[in-house]
Amino acid sequence: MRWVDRGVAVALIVAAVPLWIEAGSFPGSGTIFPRVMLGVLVVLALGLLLRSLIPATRRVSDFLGSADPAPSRGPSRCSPWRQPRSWRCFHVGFFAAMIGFCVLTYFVLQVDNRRLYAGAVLILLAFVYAVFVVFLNVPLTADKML
Amino acid sequence: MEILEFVWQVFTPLNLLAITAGVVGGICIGGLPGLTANLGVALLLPVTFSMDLTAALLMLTSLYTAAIYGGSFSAILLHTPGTSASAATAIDGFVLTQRGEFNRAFRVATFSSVIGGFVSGLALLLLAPPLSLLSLKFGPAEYFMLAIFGLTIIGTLATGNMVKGLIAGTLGLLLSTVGMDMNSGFPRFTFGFFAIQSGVNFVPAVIGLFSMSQAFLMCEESRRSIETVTANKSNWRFLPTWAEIRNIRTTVARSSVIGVLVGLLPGAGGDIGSWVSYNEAQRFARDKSEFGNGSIVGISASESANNAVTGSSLIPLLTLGIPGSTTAAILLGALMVHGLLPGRTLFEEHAHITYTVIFGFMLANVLMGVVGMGLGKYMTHVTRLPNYALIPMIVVLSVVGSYSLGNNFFDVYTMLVFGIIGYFMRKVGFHPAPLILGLILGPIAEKGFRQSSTLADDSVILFILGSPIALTLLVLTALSIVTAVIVESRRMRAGSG
Repeated sequence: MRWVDRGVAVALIVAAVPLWIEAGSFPGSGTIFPRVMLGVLVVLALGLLLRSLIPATRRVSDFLGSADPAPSRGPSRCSPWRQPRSWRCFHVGFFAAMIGFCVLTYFVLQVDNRRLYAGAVLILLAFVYAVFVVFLNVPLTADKML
Repeated sequence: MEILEFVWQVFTPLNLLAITAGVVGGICIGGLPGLTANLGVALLLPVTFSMDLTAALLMLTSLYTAAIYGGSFSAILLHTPGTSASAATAIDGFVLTQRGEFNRAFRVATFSSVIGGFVSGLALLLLAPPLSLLSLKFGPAEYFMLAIFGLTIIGTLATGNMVKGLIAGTLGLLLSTVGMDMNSGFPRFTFGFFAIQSGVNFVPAVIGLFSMSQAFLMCEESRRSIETVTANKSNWRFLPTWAEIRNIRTTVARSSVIGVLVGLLPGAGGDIGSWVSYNEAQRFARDKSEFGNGSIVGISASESANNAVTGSSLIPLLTLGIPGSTTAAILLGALMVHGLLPGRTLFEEHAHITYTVIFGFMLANVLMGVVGMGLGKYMTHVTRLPNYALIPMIVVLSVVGSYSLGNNFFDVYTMLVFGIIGYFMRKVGFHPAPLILGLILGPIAEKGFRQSSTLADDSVILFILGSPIALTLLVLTALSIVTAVIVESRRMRAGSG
């Protein structure tokens, strides 16, 4: 985690430089607040960097119960190019795309109970249709979203 | 007489439906391990947009309190708290389930949650209106310091890592500057993208940070194994026995008060409340050995406190605009999206909405008990829903919810981007709550800052120091940072020692 913290701190400091320059082009008092925030961000990033250099600390879990970053199979499985839902929604329509998406996730998520999965998908589709299409009038069934 | 009118408003069919839907949804979401009140409120936000404002707020607040209560189901049945606020409940609750006494654990948890939640509703009703008078004394300097204080307290206290919390908050403030400058109309940090000229849309950001990122995290353990014991569902009893009530009544009263006080502290959520009261219950107990071995006093302490936090965390939110918990931070955004500003106006101009929501919140806590005990028998099935059934639900609702905001795909892309940001933030130990709060409070902070610099004759800092309220908030901000530094340095010493 200490290496990750160092990487994050350096990335924040590096990213702050072009943003600082960009903020200089804002007219009037519009430049002050972003620059103050960028300054604070750099100071905090330096703090994070220094803190990561202090030797061994035991990991303390946070109060809000954020997910345990334990053994992960990496983010690749959930990366956006693995979830081309939006593209398919636009071209083949929401409900058709939904079924395609659920078939895809069936294999990706290694579902072991087909009936449960199918039931969940059907309930979800019915819920989305009732709430968003009927109740909220979201055009999920109009034009290209057919 | 006006008060009776507000009470009567709660019982209109639409409002009752909103409360019931919020309660049922909240219990189910809270009962599912991994799904939190934050996620539930974030997913529900788009649904409430076209609703009547009172019904929308009733649904959101009902879902909030019911989700905190629902967390006790998986804590008791699976030893896995559905929300972090129920972590203390899992200690004794699961022992009772192992003994086949899960009905006993449920009815005690339900009774305690209902009392705790109702007491917090009463506190909200009695404390919020007089406290809101304070907001009348607020000018630009005070609002600027208030935003900074709110952000600091969430960043330092609620996330458990001061530096990372503050970095996330500052990033949120910085993100809030994206888009058209409110004074000059000049586009800031848009880099030529026309779509973000109106700024970063709050709702897709919330959905992405809290819901989508959670779905991504759940992908990593789509086949989580669930260890549970078969519970005996015969002889289901809805209410605790008199002996049980006698046993827990003092604890429930004490823990409700603790919960209310903890909820008043900006940034301190239900988890802190439940642990503090669990420890207090243990300290006051004659037989301390029963804690951890299926003590109903332990369950009641945790459950009454975490629900007592829900209502009181809305007090600083409604009066001053400082959220008392992470979910309250999302609710603050919801208020603003619906065009309501925290402060005195909520209790005067919008009194019909505010008081109806408060009375509705109290009703939701009672209804939560009825629905909870009714669903209790069947929650064993709900809590065992595997991640592979939940992930598509979260993903689809996140996408459709974001799309429904303005019927455009840009909101969906915003949500996806924030989902990825939220995922990586959580992986490297940053909590998304300060970021979202920074995004909400950013415009208030910047407006206060710029107005202060315009009004100040020479120095903005001197202008801020000239106001007693702003000075007090500055001292409190400094104190919260110093306290966090001391706590963290102690932790580090303990870690290296």
